[in-house]
Amino acid sequence: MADFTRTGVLAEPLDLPTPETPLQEVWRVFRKDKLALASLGVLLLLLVVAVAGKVVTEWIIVMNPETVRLPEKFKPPLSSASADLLLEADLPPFGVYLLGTDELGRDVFARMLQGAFVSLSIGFIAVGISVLIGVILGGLAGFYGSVTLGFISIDTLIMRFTDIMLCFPTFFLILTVVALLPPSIYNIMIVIGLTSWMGTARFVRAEFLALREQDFVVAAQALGLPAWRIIFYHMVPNAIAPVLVSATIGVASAILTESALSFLGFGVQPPYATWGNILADGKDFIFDAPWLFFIPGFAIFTVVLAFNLVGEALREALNPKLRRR
Amino acid sequence: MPTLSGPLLTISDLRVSFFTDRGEAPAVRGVSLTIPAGQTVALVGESGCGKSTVALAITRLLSDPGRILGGQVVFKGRDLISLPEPALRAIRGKEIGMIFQEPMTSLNPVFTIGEQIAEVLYVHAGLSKRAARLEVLRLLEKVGIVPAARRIDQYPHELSGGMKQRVMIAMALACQPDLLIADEPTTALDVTVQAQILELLYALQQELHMAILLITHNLGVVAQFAQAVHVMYAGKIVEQADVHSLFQHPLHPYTRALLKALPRPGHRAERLAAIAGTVPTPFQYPPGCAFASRCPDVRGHCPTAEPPLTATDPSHKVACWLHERSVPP
Repeated sequence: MADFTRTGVLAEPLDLPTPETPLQEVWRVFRKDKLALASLGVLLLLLVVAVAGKVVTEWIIVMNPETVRLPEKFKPPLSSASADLLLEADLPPFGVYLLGTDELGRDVFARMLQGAFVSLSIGFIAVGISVLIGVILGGLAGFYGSVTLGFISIDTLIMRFTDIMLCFPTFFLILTVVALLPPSIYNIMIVIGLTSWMGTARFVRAEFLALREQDFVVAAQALGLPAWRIIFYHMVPNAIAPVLVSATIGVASAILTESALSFLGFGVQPPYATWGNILADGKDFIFDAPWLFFIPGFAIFTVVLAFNLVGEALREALNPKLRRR
Repeated sequence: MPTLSGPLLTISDLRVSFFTDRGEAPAVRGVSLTIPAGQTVALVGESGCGKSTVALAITRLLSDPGRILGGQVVFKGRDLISLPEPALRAIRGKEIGMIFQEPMTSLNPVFTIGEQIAEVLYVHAGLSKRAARLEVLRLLEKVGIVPAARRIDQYPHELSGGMKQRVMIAMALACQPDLLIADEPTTALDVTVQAQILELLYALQQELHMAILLITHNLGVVAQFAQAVHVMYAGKIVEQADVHSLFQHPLHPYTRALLKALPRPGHRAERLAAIAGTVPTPFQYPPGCAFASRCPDVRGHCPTAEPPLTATDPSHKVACWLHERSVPP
């Protein structure tokens, strides 16, 4: 079977099955966790719904979340619209309020769709900002840790700043900042991002401290590769696994934070709908119109749970030491 | 290949220390050596004698807490110790290649070997993706990784140790360096693979006319491969000679003890000769000869007076009072 070529290397037969790439291996382990797989399904569905929702509520207006229909207020879910009381343009699609209407007769389904996009984009952009800051600061602290600026090392400088940021009660910091800034969805994304990077920075620093001593990093230096290339091309991909996990869970907490802010009235302002402010409006009518309260509550609960489950499963799939059996 | 007058690399009085919580540990205490173009120079010594530190110091790759305290490393007329970092980076990997002891961990686990070899070509030769891939295929064939077309897209964990070392060699030689620093290139490999790797290095050296600084503790490898040998002990060079005179007439008691510790065919001894005692700790080297505490021929002044490195004949130098004509102070 085996034969020696002229260079003396054992040539292996060519019909071996192609070994799996690291990504395939992660997917294989991830797939075994049925709960996580279902959660991933939920998240993909949410993504589709959020994008479709953005399209049908703002670009090609099929249903307008801002249409006020005073005669139609507090209709329970699945009730049909009374066509004779409304203008043609104000009718919901198919003449049915899928999720009922609120105290102004607005279609809750349309408002939830609009809110899905807000929640998801806040989650992703805020986490994007926090991961970016975290990876850069953590990477600098880990890689250039021993370089000193005057009397203090870069590592000390960055990590003590991280500690200081961790000392703030984040939610109250966000509340203060949001109270001072004009309320807009962008400010909220930025503020959540700027106050949640500390965990990532610590992960990345710890990984970098270990990676910096690895032979392949020294080998990369011996090959004359520039420092930025070593950091971002060689070290970050090796350090990214815990960051990915914390980012997934971070999306969930960003969505929760946004909901809480909107619930308190500091978040995205009406008439623009988010899950948080639908919930806030609904709490006044919890006995008369419980769907106004439970629908956004359940949506937030499901999405946050799904992100957390996916994060946990990713943690297991990416870290061989945590895999069961 | 540019023709050069004089040696390719000259190290003079290189001194490196590690600054730890326990104090200063001098790892390299005034090492000088020269490497002529196209030749193989061996640096031998036991673990911890500072030979790998010399290798890393040549291209200033020492990481904290190691620091170069003095000396010169002149490579093609430029002093690498004082060269600014960007200029040095252009030399690393292009004019000076390096291979390490542990092929298992010297490759980045998240990229295919093809991507890693190609990276050197992007950075130093400015090749396009397509040109780099062709060149990588050629390099893989050259270092005996066949079939290259299949291996190029494999990850390091899919290759054996010997194959990984071949990949490291391909990376180090991608830009046809004038000097290859091989830091114990075969230590982590089993004996049959060692021989293959050495053969490969020898063949490539003949083809590319490069000089090799071979760092090893394996005297068998040295005898086979090197033209000149430097024996290092406790951060200093204690003996330097061409390979024949070193093996025929070892002068320093340490070199003799090392050669005596080798198993020899036909001589069936009960036990191999071991060198008594241990290497002194780098935190407290004696003021005189560091080998004095283990030396069978120790004289009264050895532990207190430092023997100079003096020539006994044109190609042989030794730092030992036994062979010194001048009298210790």
